[in-house]
Amino acid sequence: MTKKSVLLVDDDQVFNLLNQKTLQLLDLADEIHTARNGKEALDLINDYYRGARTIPEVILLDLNMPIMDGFGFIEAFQKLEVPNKERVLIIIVTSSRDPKDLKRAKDLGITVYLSKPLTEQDLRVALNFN
Amino acid sequence: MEKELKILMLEDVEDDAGLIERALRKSALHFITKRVDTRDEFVDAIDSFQPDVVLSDHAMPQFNSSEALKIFKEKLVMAPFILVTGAVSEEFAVNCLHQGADDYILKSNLARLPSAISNALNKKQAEKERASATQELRVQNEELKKLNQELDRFVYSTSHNLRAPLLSVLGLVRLCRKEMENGMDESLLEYFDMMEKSITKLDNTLQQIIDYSKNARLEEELDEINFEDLLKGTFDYMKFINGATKIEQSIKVHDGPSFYCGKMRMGFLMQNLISNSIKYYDASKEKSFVNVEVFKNTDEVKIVVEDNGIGISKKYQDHIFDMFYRATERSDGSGLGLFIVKETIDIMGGSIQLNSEKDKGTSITLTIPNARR
Repeated sequence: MTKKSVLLVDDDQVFNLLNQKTLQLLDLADEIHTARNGKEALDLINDYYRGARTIPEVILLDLNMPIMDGFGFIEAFQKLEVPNKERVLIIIVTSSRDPKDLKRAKDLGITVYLSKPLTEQDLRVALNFN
Repeated sequence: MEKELKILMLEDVEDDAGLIERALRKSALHFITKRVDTRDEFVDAIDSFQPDVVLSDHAMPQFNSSEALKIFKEKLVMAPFILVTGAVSEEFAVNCLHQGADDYILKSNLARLPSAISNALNKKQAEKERASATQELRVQNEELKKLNQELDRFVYSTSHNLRAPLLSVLGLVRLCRKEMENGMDESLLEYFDMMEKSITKLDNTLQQIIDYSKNARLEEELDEINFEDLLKGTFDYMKFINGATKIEQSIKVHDGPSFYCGKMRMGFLMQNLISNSIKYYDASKEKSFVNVEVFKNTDEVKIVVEDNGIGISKKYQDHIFDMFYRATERSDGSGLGLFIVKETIDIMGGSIQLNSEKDKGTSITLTIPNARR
């Protein structure tokens, strides 16, 4: 299995740190970036397309965040006109159990929905999806 | 004395009308009558006379009881409609009842009329009561449904916001164990700090939910509010918040009549608004301030809390009072504070107005009615 480039998006720095440390322990990622909300994540993505970084292959995305929430990010990301967008796998990671959130994610075409906190097994599976 | 019963008679034969009246007088009914025998008169009398009962003959030269009943239905008149007529076939009588007549009396048996009238009135009254009870139930049912939906929403949002810090602790515990198993212990203290923060946050959120239920649900006794004391106490209470000592605070309470409201609620409002002003001060400004100004009149109090903090940009202002909404990264709060403020103000019958500009500052104006005037 090849190592992946991963973007972690959560306003709670603890979860970003947890996922980062676990990914490092499992040696699953070759590049890890973090963003604290959808807006920061979007800025990072734009950086990739300006050639500043490699494209993230997996985005672990929280839903409930200030400034721009997870859904806001997905909508904005889907509107981006950039190459290789389909290579980016967005995985929602949340503690929400609201069926409305689930439905909205589905409607936006996001099919992978994981519960916090991610286990080692979750991360292995998540990074092996594409 | 009993109210006079207004009886509208649809009858073309004056002698018959006389007979009917005589039959009625023998009973204990207090009544006045009006007699009509054309369609126009009938329509007009329904509006102007507002009958309590209609006694209708079947066939008149220009009108008949079937048409009268139709008009009755169209106008949604609640009064009983009793057919008083000469000999008719059983089929005709049944037909009349189907069309909505409440009863029929033969002119040869007028002695039954008074009891027929009171029975029909009782029946209508019962119908009216049942209809209004049904309506009331329907309204209550709608309200309950709405409350239930709100409760669902509240439970989802609350559980999410309670679970988040709990789950971060769970993750941290797992990470601690994993790292210890691998002989790594250099980060443990950092993880303990994080766990402590998460647990404190969880506790704060729980405390705010308790505040919410106290403020929003409980009936509170009215107190006269001494704004100077209350505001001084609030500022005093806030002095341990990060940055509080660097912020100039001023309280100005203008003279005015006594103001009454629930003291706990008012204290809660001030605490939330002032702590926001302190928490979101702008460190890049040379001088930071929080000013509170109070204007009282007989009807209401106006409280203005103004600061030169980081402000709220226009695009977030619509959501600032939403449950669990956080507009800034700098917020480590639960996103409940202003939501509860708004709920509390609604319950007090007041209003809140936000005036804020990013990087300039925020001014919040509360208007709360005087509960005793």
